[in-house]
Amino acid sequence: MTRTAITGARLLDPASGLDAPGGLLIEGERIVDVGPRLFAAGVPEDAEVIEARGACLAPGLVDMRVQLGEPGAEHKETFASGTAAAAAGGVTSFACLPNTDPVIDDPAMVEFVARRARRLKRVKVYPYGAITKGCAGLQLAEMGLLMEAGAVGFTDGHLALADSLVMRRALDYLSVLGGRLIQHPEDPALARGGVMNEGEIATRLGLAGIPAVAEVILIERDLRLVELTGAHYHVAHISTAAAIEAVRLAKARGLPVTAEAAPVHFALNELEVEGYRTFAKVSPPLRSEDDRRAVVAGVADGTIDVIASDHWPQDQDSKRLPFAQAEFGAVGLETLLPVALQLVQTGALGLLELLAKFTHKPAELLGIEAGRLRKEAPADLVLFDPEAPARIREEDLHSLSKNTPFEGRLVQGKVLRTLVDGRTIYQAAG
Amino acid sequence: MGARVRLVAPKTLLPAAVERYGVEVFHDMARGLEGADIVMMLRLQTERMQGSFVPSVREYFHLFGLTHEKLASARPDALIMHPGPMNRGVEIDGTVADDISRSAILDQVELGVAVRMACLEVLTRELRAAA
Repeated sequence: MTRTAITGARLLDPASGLDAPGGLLIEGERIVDVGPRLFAAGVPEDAEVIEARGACLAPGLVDMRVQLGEPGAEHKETFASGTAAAAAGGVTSFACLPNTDPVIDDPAMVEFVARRARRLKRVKVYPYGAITKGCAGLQLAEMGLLMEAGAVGFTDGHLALADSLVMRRALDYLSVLGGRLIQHPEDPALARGGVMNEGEIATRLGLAGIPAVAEVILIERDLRLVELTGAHYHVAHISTAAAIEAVRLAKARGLPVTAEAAPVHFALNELEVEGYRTFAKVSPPLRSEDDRRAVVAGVADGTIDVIASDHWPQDQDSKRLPFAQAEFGAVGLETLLPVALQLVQTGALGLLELLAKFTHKPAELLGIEAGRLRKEAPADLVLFDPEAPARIREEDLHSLSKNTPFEGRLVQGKVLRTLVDGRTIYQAAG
Repeated sequence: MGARVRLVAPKTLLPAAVERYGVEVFHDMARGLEGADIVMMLRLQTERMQGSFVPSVREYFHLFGLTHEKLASARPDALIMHPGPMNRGVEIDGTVADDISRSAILDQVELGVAVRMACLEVLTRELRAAA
């Protein structure tokens, strides 16, 4: 069995709190040893050596919100391009949304995704199942059969489950199965026709607004139903101060609630839309500066459990349009780590605390074996330099779509190498 | 009549606070049937399928349909009952329904007519006497 030794690394394992210089030994697909003085007596002779030269070695990132275009929109993202982008971003496992065409609302579709990803032998891809058939919000999908086929959670993707009765039944049904419901938190009636955050900037630009209350209203309704049913509920890409406060209070009351933030919502605010930049058109929309600060505070104090890339690829024809007509969404897999590292650089939280939010915490929510540096764990790893300066450029992106709102941004942090099951699947040039 | 009664169903099909009737509630067939003397199936009313109470017939059968496999957690001599009409392949597998060593379904349906006649007899006795 092939053995690989990674030497001279700064070991970072958020689950155990380990942050120390040391090494790691891989045998086959698994970590067989890890620790500060691992290679004190020398590296095993038969092992291939990767010299980390002081770079950070952490569990490969786990991204719980990725949109692929396959099947149905292969011109935007395929399994091949999406997993290449993930690898370049240090992501070794991700969960993909079910709102493809056809929708992942049938056990055969779950198996299709698993088979496609397995054949590529790159990043591990875990499908979500739809809550309702066709993500249409009317009839429950076969969540029991989807779960048995391997669905790691249930969501209607970019659509909120708005009907309160269907939501109640979905939560009742899932409370028995033990699955988690992931909600896109936006009241569709209040958001109807809106293209950016409601407020002064929208008025000055003459664009229709989506009010911040559209988020908290849906979440507060859902929280009442969570209390009634006892089901596990996860708020995707939370973006407003009021909604974060609602989640904070619900957690204090002991409800089984978790929340997630996307980098666009803690790194950018609604001013990015000026100049009608359609790459800044995301869903939920970029919010006010007060809301952005609230997202940072929520990440720092633990109200927000997880950071996910919210990768949503769009091609030129979907984005190079008048603002109101352009599609929502931004790619995020390859900018996830450097943009999130700014939270550490600005002192909002520590490096281990940050890494926890895209390693073992999402892995626990998805119920997958990932996100930890320990013996017997799969050798899914990322080697990165947290301080290397870089400029985000769309020509460097591996994703088929280039719609990043961070184009041209200067960041610190660079993924050097990504390994899945002990194999190097990405290595930075130079 | 002294029987201990358990209800096994998805939460979406159960009335609120049904445990106040003195029944034990389960959502898993294997656990609900454990050690049972009698397994009484009820028809999944097709009108219920119009809403979103359960996702589909095949998922309902997979999770809650009575098969020999699920019946294995009940007592080895457990009696199978159903008031009819049955939906084979929905709440009960045909081979279980027709298992002559276990199924009391045909007797139950036949006796159901006599029981209903007896009820009508008792309830209308006074009225008929007055007439």
